[in-house]
Amino acid sequence: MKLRDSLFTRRVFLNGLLGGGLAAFAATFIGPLVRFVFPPYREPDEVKLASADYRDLPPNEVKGFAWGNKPGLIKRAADGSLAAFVAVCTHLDCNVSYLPADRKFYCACHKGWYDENGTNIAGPPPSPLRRLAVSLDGESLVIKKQG
Amino acid sequence: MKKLRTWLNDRLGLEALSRFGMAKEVPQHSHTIWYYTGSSILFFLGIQIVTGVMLALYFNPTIKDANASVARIMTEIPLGWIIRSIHSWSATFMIAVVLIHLLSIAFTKAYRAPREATWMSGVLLLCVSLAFGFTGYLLPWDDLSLAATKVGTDIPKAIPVVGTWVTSLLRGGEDVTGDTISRFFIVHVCVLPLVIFAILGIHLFLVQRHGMSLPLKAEARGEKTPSLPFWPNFTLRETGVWLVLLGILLTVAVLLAPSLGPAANLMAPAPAGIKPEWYFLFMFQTLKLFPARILGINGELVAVAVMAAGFFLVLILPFLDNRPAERKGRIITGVAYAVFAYTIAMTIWSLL
Amino acid sequence: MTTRRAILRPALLALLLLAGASAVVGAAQNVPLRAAASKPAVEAAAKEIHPAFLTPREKSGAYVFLGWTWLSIGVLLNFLRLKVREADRVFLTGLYGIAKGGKKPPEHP
Repeated sequence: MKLRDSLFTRRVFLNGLLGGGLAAFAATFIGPLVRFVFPPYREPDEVKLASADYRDLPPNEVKGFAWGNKPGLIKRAADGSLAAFVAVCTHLDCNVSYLPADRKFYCACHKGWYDENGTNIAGPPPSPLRRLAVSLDGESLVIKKQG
Repeated sequence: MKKLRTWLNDRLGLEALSRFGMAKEVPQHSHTIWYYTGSSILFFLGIQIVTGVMLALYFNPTIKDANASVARIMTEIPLGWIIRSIHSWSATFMIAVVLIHLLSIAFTKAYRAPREATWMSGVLLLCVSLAFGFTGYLLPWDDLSLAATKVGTDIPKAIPVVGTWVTSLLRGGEDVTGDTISRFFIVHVCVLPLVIFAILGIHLFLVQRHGMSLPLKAEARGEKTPSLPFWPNFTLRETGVWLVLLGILLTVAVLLAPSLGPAANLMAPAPAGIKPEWYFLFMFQTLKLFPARILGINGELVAVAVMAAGFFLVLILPFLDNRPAERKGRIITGVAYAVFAYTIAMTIWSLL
Repeated sequence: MTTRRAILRPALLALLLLAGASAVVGAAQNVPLRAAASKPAVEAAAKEIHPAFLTPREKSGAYVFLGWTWLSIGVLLNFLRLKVREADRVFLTGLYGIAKGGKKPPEHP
């Protein structure tokens, strides 16, 4: 049966109603399923390290620490101050190493270079290494997000 | 014996199968050799399933035990290193034959109407095969496989809006961790097999539905090309090819078995001289060459866009090349040769 | 030709079975030796592990097996060639599928 001014028949309308209803119902399950797939992870706000471990670090040398799941490097500058970097290449996420002889950070994956301050100078990296703030709190070295 | 056959036939209707095999014809011409590539892929897929199940008997997909369990397979389990070697080499051969299969179809233009859907399902099968290779590469969990996976899963990050989301979907979090191994393992041994069987079913159904494609020249001549029945004439020849492939596979697997690097350390710098599997080398080299910024746009984003566009063009190739015999078709053939040459050149360069 | 083949085929087949049997026996003998030779994997996991035969016997066993594989492949390919020739002949003479009630044989001109 079709009404005189109706755009579609009762059958088409009912098909759409049922199909659309089923699709909408199924869609409500996508959200919870997708949420399950992502495990919770929060980047640490700060990491505390025993400052004794880093006291004897000579200038122009680095020592590693764990910044959450990422590697971090603490580097002593020539003037004796400490700087902390997230030792992950800004190009495609490979872990970088510090080459004291060259005074540069190097990423072996695609030959990316950073100078001793973490600034990208050659190869594919698009931005400098991420820096972290270092401060001394009694016997512990506190590494915090910068800014 | 005869009684058993009749009994089975009455229940299962096997007669239809043999009738189909006898009715299916394989044309004989100068490009017939490419018809063998399809069944060779199936042969290697079968080997992958058998050796894959065997390896999974001992493999532990955890951050603590993944590398150690592969080490155990290689040093303790009888003939373990050979099984691993066969699995690894068969993967290489399978991808190689998949690429030859695809190239032979591209250059004989077998994708022309009405076989567009067959081509597209085939391109999807190539993607699934590459995904198999990519997920399998991480599982031994040595320093090379960790670095390759970090790079591979970081590439989608360059996609605007959803990129970061895709990367953490692949990794199970912001970084590559133990969750990534579990994820890659279950995708490698469960999700991808289900997907490949589904698409393969469609692909094979379409191949049977449309029959074997003829080369352009033979089709233009219009006369009937001589052909042989699929069963038993062509099947017997295929058996010969399989036997030779099996011999080559076993020989290479015994003589050139892969070694296993030290267990990956999430905090260690990437080792020098990292390389992905050979079929990703051309992308690897391209990524190395791309500068950080191109016309003010992030270089990675450009690389990802180029790769996505390339994939899309290959996927819809039958629709682009809809007049294969005319000038447009010849131009597309030229472009295809150029792209092919680029890929080969980049691969060789990255090996130097 | 036919007499030569009549001798050659059983001889090849016998060789094949003999080689196969020796390979199987060799593999079976390996088992106790291999168990004795195995080392804890943990110790080795620290450095790169190169694939290696666990015992000299396994090494010779693998090479014998490879030789046996290629020999079998060679012989089987020969058998296949004979079978292919027969199948093609059946098809070209137009007798193909008659048993199944498929095609009719061609009319004699």
